[in-house]
Amino acid sequence: MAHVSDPATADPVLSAKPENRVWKKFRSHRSAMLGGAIVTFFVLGALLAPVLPIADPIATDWGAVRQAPSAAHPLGTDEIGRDVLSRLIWGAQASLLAGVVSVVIAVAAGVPLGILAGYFGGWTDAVISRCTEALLAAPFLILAIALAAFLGPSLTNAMIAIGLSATPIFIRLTRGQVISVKAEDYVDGARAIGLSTPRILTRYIFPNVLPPVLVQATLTIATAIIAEASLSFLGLGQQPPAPSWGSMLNVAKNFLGQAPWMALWPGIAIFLVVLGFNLLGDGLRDALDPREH
Amino acid sequence: MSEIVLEAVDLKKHFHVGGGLLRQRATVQAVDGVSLQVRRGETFAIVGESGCGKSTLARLLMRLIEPTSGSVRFDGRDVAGLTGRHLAGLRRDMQFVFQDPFSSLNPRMSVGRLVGEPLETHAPEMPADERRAKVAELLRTVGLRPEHADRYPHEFSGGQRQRIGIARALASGPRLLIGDEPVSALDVSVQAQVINLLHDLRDELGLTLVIIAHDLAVIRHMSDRVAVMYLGRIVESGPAEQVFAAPRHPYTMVLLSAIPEPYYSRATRRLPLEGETPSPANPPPGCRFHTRCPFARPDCASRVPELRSAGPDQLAACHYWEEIAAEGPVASPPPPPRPAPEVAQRFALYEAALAGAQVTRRAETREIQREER
Repeated sequence: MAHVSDPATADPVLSAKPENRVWKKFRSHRSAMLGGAIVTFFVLGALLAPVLPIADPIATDWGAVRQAPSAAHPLGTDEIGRDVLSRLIWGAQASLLAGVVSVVIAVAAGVPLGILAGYFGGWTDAVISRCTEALLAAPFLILAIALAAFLGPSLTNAMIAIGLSATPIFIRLTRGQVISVKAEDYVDGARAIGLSTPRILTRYIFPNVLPPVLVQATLTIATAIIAEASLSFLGLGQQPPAPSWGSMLNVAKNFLGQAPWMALWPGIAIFLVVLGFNLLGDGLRDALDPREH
Repeated sequence: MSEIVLEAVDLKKHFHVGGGLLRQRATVQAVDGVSLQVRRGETFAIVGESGCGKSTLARLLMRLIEPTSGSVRFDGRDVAGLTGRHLAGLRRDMQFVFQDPFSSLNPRMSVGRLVGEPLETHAPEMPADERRAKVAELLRTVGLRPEHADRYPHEFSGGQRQRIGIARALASGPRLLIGDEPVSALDVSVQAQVINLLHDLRDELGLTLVIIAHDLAVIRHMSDRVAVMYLGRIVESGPAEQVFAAPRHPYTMVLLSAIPEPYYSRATRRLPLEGETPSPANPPPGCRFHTRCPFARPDCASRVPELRSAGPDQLAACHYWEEIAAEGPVASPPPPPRPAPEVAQRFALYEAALAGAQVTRRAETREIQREER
């Protein structure tokens, strides 16, 4: 055709390699790989707990109460002589589950509702937003406690309660993002092309609201782990004597002076997992964005 | 007269803005009673300054927004009632090119997917490799390379993105293309390329173009007929050449007099345009232009002018266009100023030199040198 030699196309766009796709970008993202490694480490630990050569996490030893780290107990023992390392590894199961599952619940419920509210506006928005505000009016933890108490004490119910309590945050965040994305010309363009509304929502709205939701999700994992700890403390989460990091921390705070290791290890574990998920989320966000290099 | 493809009948779009517990809601009359007819194969331009309702009109024509009242007919069919398959048909036959090439392409889709998407929507049975071939062909049509299909919009310049937007608009094989300021976000040099591309495509593919613009130079270059909008209404319409040569509505005259002329001798007298455009939420009564019109008379503030014939195929919404026209062509050039004697002398020498032999030319050089000394 006549326009091929047009000066508009004679630029260096073609000189770069085009295979810069998501996985490759993710692989080259150093901090994301570090985050992935941390998360993998803890997930593996949690999964392999039954086969690792560690002590029974609920066996008490009244002869070795609140012992400092030693060869027999590398991370020390707790207030009734249970091995902290062992409890940490077994506790990873409950804590990771509580963190991840409840955030998955919150995202799965919050993002679609936020998209509906933001995209359709009007009555849909009014109903969803007013309900969200009502939920947000109650403090996160109080809401989770109320829901968990209502559902009955177990780890599963605690996860559902935490997930539902975190949902309003995702509805609000998604709704705001959708409203700003909806104003972009490309959404009008999609309508002009004749795309159906479900397609516009999945192809145009969803991918463009995802990045802040991902970041929020990784942050909420941390909140959820702590929330599970609080629920455990109240007897609404992981049921004793089964361990979770949160319940370990809650007990340890009474012995901070005598046995600081009891609080230190679960604290470090929570810190590392949260850091890992945050780095992972950042990397995922960058890898999914074609504009980032 | 050729067939009418697109027709708007008394189209209105009013937006409600503001309003609260105690405040009155304001109504912005973005488009207020616009009627127009676009003929098959022509380039129809809609001009006006920012905020006159051009873009709203374009979106109404595309049925991206619903009119408050009035109707749009495409191929004789009212588009308002279309749903499902019929609406899909309209979307296939009528396409849109956006103003801003930076926000009109989904940043998360590759060029190949962007251009292939209309095919996917309107011809879902087309096999994937055939679709890829078609995308490559479309990219070539708009002056991009097929290899560009794997890249993402952010890797392209504004002009290239606009080409991607055009390729996407062409993919479904439309018969009518509406461009909402398709070049105003581009550099001047790129503008010309995109305008020429649209023009060539119109001829090659037999398209009808509706171009919304505020740049009269662009319009003059490419359109067959033109409609001038002011505050939500069409104030003048007609064949482009005629409107540019003999504008009938004072607003058109003012607009035309604002075009810079490249030749000193043709520079026109600028018609002063006082004040700001009134708010479309509170348009002046009577003729909407009377507050700024250099020819306004007292009754312009009370009587609303209708569009009426102002020449062959030309319409103007002004009560007094005949009298204004009789006063003399306002926007046409004043008599060229008489050149200074020295300049006249040089021109004479130059012309003589062009006509005469080399000897004369040398003489001219000497003459000029002497003058300079």
